[in-house]
Amino acid sequence: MTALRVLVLLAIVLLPVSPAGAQTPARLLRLERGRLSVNFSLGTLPSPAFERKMRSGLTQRLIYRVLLKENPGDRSVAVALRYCAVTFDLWEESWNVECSGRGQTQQVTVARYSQLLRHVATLSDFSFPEKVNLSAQRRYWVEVQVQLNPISRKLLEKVKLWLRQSEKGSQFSGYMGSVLSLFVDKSVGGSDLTVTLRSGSISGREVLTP
Amino acid sequence: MSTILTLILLLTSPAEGPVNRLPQLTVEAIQVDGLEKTSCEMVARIIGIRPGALLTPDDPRLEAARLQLLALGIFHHVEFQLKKGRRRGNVILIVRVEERQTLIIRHLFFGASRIIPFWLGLGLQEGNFLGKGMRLSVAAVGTARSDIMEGRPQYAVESSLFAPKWLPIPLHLGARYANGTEFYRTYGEADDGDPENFLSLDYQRGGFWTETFLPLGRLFLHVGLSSELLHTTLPGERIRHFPDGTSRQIHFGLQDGFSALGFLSGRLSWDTRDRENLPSSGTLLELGGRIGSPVFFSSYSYTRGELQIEHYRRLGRHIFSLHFFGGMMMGDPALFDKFYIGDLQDLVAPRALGLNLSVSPSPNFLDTGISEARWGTAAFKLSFRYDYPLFSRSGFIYRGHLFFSAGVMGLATPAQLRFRETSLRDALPVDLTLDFGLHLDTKMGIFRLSFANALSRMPF
Repeated sequence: MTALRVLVLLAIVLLPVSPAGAQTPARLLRLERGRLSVNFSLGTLPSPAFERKMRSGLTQRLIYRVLLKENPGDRSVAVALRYCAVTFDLWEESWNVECSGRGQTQQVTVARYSQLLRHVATLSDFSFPEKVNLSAQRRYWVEVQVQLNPISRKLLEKVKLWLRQSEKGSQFSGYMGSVLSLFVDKSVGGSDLTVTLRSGSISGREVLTP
Repeated sequence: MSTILTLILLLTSPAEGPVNRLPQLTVEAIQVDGLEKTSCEMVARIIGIRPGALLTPDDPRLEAARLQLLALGIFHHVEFQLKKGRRRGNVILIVRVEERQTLIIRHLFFGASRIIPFWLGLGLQEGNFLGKGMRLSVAAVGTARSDIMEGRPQYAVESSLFAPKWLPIPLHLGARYANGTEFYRTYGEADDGDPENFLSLDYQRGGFWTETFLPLGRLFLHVGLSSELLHTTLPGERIRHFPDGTSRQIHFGLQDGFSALGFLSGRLSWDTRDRENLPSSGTLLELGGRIGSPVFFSSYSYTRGELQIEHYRRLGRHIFSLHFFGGMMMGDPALFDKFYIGDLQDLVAPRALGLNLSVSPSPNFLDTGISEARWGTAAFKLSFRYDYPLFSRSGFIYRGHLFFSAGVMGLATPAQLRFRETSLRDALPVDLTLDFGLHLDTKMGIFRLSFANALSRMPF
């Protein structure tokens, strides 16, 4: 067990993932060798319900949709996706975190909840897949939408349609004289949790300045 | 949940994410928390995982089970969790649910007309009958004594049960009984709603129906069967006297004594609306038909076809929609199976549980032959509707829409047009229909406070 913990610690240090122990760079957006990367803390993502999910023992899927927006115009200029699967080992009491983005998959095991949050509640040096042309005269900010255990829209629509058919009931019943039409809002949710976070803005000049 | 829906969910459950080397766990036990009314056995059956089963932490059966439970419509919330079992590798599957309030008021009937001083009715629905996820609906309506010679009170009751899991397919079962009166004009002009110009025909009808539905790709197919026994006593006076001195036999549309009402029905539905109540985008397309025949225990042989189209589009805060209904019948249908003026004209009181509550004609804005039309074998309605969302918030009343709708409707029988005494243009039974008011979306349901709703329920 001790040897395993040492190996895990080495893996955390050596593997090129968002390192748990490294400090998050201060600048929101950083341009380096033509690659634009984001550093952003998703501080409001963790909550008691979120922690309960992370400790459930079932694989939790997080999908991040990262948008770079510019002002004026409130226009999206770049988008990037990130996917994480988190599984809590009930016996080892550790988390196996597997994150994919930009064609790369990184896997790490962490023992503490705070370490898990550094992986899933922080975008650290997260880069957009395509070249982004920034303007020094504009301001930019990042919008991140995080969904926990999303259900595919097609599947969700299928279930909602099924619910509607069951409510249609009968063409035999003459309910047209009713003053009250009740359509019970049987919401079948799209995900366990959806959080949208927005950063402060940064000027394009500041990003373009090395 | 039907086997068909189970297959849909299992085959299309998103297997998102990279492949990982997760352990295989043995389910030692299943624990369900949060049940108050719902049967634990039903929940366990829907989950479909038994003690001893092997699963992985990302097993797609769990997500499918969660959706199946939510799709019952009786839970607000469904969550799964694992807990350590007695041995390493064994787990206890914990299912946490939060039940909804399932007893609701489904319908309210009330109003008055010149011929019926008042009517009142209520429809209730229990969404989790016997804790087995079945939906039981009961509705009843009664009227005061009709203000007509030999008039009497009317009443009707209906009950239905929706069982999603009895059979591999979902099933609706229903029963109804009505002790009602139909009104036929004997004197006066077509637009004269004086009760003295009418005679009454009393009837009793009762029977059963059943319906199921299944997905066909992106469509849903509904198939149903209905069978009722009808008893009528045709009145001795059967002559309609016209103001010009002519007269004609009244065609009651019903057989004297006992007869059977039965039909086989089918309906194809394609629905892309964003929501069922107050949609703002999408399309609904429904094509349906009925066959009445001795094969289906009917004394009346006929066919009926219907087409319904709704299309919604949002432009900023404004919602525009187009609505079309068209129907045609052939053969010799019973009166009740024909299209009724109140089903099409917003300004005429509709039927309540099949009971006819008014003899008001269509307003006849276009001065056509529509006043004569109360029942028909050909019908259409084309209307345009505009909705403006006033507010959207949390609370008991959470959405309000101002709305305005206007359109044109028509109702006829081929005989009316064939044996007309005026030009075709004057005989065409078409009229304008309109309505405006407020739709309130509340936790209890949608209330329509509108001009037509109020007008059709007042004794004009």
